[in-house]
Amino acid sequence: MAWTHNDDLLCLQEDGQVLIYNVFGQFQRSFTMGKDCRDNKVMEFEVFIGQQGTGLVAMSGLFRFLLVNNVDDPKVRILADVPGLKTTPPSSWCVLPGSRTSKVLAANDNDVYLLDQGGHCSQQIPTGLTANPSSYISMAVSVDGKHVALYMNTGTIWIGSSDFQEKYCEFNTNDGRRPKQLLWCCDSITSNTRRLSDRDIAIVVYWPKTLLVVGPKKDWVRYSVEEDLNVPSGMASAVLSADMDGIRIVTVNRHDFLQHVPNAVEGIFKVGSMAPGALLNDAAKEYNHQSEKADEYLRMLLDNGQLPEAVEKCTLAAAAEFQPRIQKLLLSAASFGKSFVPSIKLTDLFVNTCQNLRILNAVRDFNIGIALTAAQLQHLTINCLIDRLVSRREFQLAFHICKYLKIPEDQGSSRILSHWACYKVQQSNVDDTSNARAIRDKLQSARGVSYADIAEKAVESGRKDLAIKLLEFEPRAAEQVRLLSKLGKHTLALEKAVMSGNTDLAYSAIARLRERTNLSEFLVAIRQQPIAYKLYLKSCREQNEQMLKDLHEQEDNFIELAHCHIHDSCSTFRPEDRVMSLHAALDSFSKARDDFGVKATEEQLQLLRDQTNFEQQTDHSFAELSMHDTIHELLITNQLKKAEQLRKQYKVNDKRWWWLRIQSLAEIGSFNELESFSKSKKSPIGYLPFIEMCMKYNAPGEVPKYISKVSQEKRVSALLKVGNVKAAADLAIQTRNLVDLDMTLKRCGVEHREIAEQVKGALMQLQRR
Amino acid sequence: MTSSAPHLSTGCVNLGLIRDDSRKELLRLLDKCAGTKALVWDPELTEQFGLIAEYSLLKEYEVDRMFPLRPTRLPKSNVQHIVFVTRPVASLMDQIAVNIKKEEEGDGFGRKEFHVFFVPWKSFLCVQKLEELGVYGALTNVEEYKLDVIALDSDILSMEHHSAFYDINIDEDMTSLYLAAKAIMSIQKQFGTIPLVYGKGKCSKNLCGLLRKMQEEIGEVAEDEQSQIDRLIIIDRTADLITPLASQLTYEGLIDEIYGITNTTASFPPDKFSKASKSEDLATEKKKVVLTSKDELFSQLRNCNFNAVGPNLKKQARTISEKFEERHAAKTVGEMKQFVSHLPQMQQAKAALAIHTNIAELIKEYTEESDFLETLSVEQEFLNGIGTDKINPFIEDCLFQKRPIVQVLRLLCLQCITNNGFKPKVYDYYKREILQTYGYKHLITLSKLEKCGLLRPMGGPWNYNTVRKSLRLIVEDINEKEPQDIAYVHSGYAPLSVRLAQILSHPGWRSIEEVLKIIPGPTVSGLQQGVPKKKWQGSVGSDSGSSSSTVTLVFYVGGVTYSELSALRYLSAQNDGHEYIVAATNVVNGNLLLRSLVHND
Repeated sequence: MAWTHNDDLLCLQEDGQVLIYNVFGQFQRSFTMGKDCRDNKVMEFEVFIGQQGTGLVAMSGLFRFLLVNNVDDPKVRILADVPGLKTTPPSSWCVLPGSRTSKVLAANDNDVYLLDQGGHCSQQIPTGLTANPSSYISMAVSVDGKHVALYMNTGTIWIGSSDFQEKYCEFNTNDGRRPKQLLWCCDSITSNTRRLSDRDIAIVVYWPKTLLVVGPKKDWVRYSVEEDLNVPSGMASAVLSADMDGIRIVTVNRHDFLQHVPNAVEGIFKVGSMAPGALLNDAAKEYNHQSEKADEYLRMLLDNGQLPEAVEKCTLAAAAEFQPRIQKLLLSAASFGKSFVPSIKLTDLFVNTCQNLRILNAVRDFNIGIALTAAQLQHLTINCLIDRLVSRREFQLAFHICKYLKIPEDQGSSRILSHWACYKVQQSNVDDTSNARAIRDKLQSARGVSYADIAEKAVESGRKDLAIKLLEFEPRAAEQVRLLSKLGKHTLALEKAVMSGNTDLAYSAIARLRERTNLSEFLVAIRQQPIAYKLYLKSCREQNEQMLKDLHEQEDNFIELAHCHIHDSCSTFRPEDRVMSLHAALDSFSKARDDFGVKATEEQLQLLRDQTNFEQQTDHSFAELSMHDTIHELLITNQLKKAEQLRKQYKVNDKRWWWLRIQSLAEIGSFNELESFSKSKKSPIGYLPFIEMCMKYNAPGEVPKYISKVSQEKRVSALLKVGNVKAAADLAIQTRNLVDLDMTLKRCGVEHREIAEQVKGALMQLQRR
Repeated sequence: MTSSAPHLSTGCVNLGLIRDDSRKELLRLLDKCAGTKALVWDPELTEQFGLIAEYSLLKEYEVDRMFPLRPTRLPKSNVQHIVFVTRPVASLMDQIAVNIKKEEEGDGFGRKEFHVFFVPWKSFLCVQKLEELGVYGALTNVEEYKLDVIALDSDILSMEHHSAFYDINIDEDMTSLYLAAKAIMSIQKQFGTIPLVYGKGKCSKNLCGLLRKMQEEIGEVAEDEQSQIDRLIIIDRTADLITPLASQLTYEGLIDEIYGITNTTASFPPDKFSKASKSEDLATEKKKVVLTSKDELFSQLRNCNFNAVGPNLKKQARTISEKFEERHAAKTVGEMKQFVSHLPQMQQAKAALAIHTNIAELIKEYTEESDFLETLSVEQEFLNGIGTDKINPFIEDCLFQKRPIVQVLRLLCLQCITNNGFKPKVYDYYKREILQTYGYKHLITLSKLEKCGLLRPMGGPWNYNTVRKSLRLIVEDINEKEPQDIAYVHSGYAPLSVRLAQILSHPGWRSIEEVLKIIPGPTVSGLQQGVPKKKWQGSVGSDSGSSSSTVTLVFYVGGVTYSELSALRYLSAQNDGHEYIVAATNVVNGNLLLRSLVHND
């Protein structure tokens, strides 16, 4: 059993099953360490905090090591076998956390091996080892993986760097018993930045009731550990756990923390210290007592240029202290000193420290009970702390911290609020409406909250109605619709999909609605959503025309229905089908009281009949022809009588008739007949068309017959059409028509330069007037 | 990654960034299929992609082959991956399924992996269809390539979503609107949240609603950075249907009307150009010309009224030949050297000049045809409010000659709008004659036109003459060569939508509240998005630096015309502290708009 860095409880069973519970003992997830563990049992295991998160190493019954670098993403890797291990377990082993992957140090009697996941195994020989042990019975690696300690059966401890290249010292405890625990106590944060100093690290050996702290220079301290002998054995002794800046000592009644006194604190509070921090602290104290000594101290610092350092030290010391009273004292000293040093860096440090201390003091409160040092917080990061608070359901505190630190909403307060809401929906003692409202009220101001996620949680805890109410607030339509249809609320899903404007979403909602409900229900539902209804009509038009007609019929949308029938009549080739469709269209038009439609359809029916008649009398096809085309067809096949018949029957416009006649006659080259036609009556469309048609059908010789008949105002353009620019120009100049002159001028071009000059002259004259 | 489209970044807002983003996304997707691959293209998309990534770049990412998507077997290739790049269109899914099945049956070169990239979004219906066709399981990756907007030039973004107008107004399918909102979101992601939103027309309000919703969905974004765009104006095409109906008379507009510009490229009949290109076989193919501001000459000409193009070309020709003449003046070796160093540039300019002279000649022929001139004069009459209430003889003539239906409808719709709808008698007459000429099935066409407001009976608040007078849509005495007003783009008619944008900049929409009520659709006036920017509170008096000019993004739902683009460019060039960039679902003209509505089987 161990805790992960997320404050989850991790339990490894003998069969290699790893179970993870949250802080409330609720099961989260599980994974297995593989077949080897299942078959051969897990003998021992160790949990470590690496850079990738919480890792786990287990030793199976075959004394093989299995490594998981990150329990959140469990990938089991088998490490190389330790040479010479067959029947006996390794005399000791420990994990060496690395930056990317971790390794295992294992000792078989007096040989030490380094095992990595690539399957390599290399023997390590401690440099400068003078003792001659028969086995290493315990070993420890510091949290940052830089230092290693080997405890021998002779009672000697070899302390050195983890690559075994450097020996710090050998220390003889004269105690050959296997220690209960061997750990490093070091300040990994400071030792990262500064050169290794002997004060920063120490090895802690724990036997029952005794704690021995040994520094790399063989200096040592012995503490006694209080143990409650009334408690059954095993529970009685303390458990030590290495943290990154010290050691936690947990006994049944107490939780102690052993660490080096931080340099800053030492400098200030050491008796008779003259360190800058101490001086500043004294200065501040004197200042508060309104004593002139304050100035003295301050001057001393200023003269030596040590004031910035003093402020820094006071601030750091405050951060390292646990009691708010001393924190305040030190901070006020720092603030006092700071007012003499304008440095942004120091100000930032000061502000950050104050913020962190507020948070730390808050979480150290016994109600919360997260005992953290400033260094640990820095290592853990604020976000992680907030996660821990959230997982402990300390939503309010977490929320306040986020607000206090002004963490961006989506990572901070909004996230906490949605966690809170997820938790809230699982409580079944509040009714849905008020629950939904409560959540809405709280979350209204927060942006980026996923109501869909909360609703999903609600569904998980069987609260459908609440989920639906919550989904009302979800701004992302796709999520909303997905969940709603998952909940079987297809109509509502459709409504939301339509509101989103995303037609694709609407189509998918329509399709699901159609699948899940019977036709009549479906139609009722979809008709309430005009936009969805339109979409459905469109898809019907493409795929299901009968349905389209049915829908129009039911909606009394007769015009549209008529159009469907017209469409049908156009797409079929069989005359009887066509007639049938047209009758249906006629019926629809009359229902829609569309007189024009009725009339047009009747005429079309009549036309179809006539066309069929003609087809029987001649062997021409009249299929698909309009009235205009039918008459044209009759005229160019010399069936004037039939054309006349149609003309009368359909009251064809006189002008159309003339156009048709002129065009047809010219087309079939009957220019004599054309001439006699021109004389038959006064043309309702003038005589320009005659000329146009003659030109079009290559009979310019016929043109002069009609020129004189063309009305005065159109004669110029007629002449131009024939290409008689000279005559046109003469006429235009004569009539003094501005438009005509302009038109003529445009047509003159290069070859009629003289005429152009004349026309220009006339134009100028006209304009001058 | 270096951008090979420097002309995109020359505007007041660097649209090259949008392109860079799209490229990165594309390459990220391609990286998902490690190994050699063949891309199978939805033909509609090939040209679009040309604007984002050139073939050499794709080749770097192991794209060995490219095929168009066809319902037949794919050509043989020994690639590891086959990637279908397609729009989410159901009919294309059938083709993909056929392809995959055929490929799996065939001998092939070992196993291949199949992928589908949907552009610009993965549609549920298409995925469903692939499942029904039984090929969904065979796909390794089904991805969405969110190509929300494409930068066509330094000041225009297009979603290249050509069915937007039809979908919204006929099918009432709001997908395009959702996509538009997403496009605006990605523009905002790039350039900051636009603080103020205005809008006019049916969809403007809905679009604003969607924008707000999307903003809520993504939650809070970093608000401290200032948006590079100060205002957004959403204009629904249905609020200004007049402009696309009127003939565009700018150089670019005319090219689009006559030859059509798709994805910045237009194709011209080859015979004019064959003189220039010597090889014979090339002559049969259409001449493709890329029309962007990369082409310096084109960027001078594109916004000119066509009447000003000729003189402009002449001037260019003179400058170039003068430059060539300089070689005679060059005497010293140094001068010669300098001349030679300019030579490639001059050659290029000469080639560009030749191309545009040819194009201009083609257009000139077209614009001098009586058909075009008569249409134009009828249009001008209508726009001036003359004779709109009577049956127009020219439209009649066109009908009775059975001219192309689009041409007739374009004039008819213009007449209808400028007359505030037709009197029943006139309306029924036109409708009947249309059916008689073009056939009964066009009853559906007519109803569609009615549905989107292009044709309608009289009534309703719309009054063209009021709008025309109060917004000064008709400007007399337009100087086409040195324009004084945006009305030059239609030789006298100022595009309504652009006028709205212009008035918003100065003096503001408050001055035209009454008119806005007449224009169809709701008005969105100064909706705030996000945190109001300091710029708006403090800088009223300090509008001195060039960087402080107000940038307005005009978003057209349902398409923008090239004439409107030119008009907005004209406004940007005024240097009065207002600059405009344009985004749209697509670029349209009247013919395209009507063609989509004409029923055909």
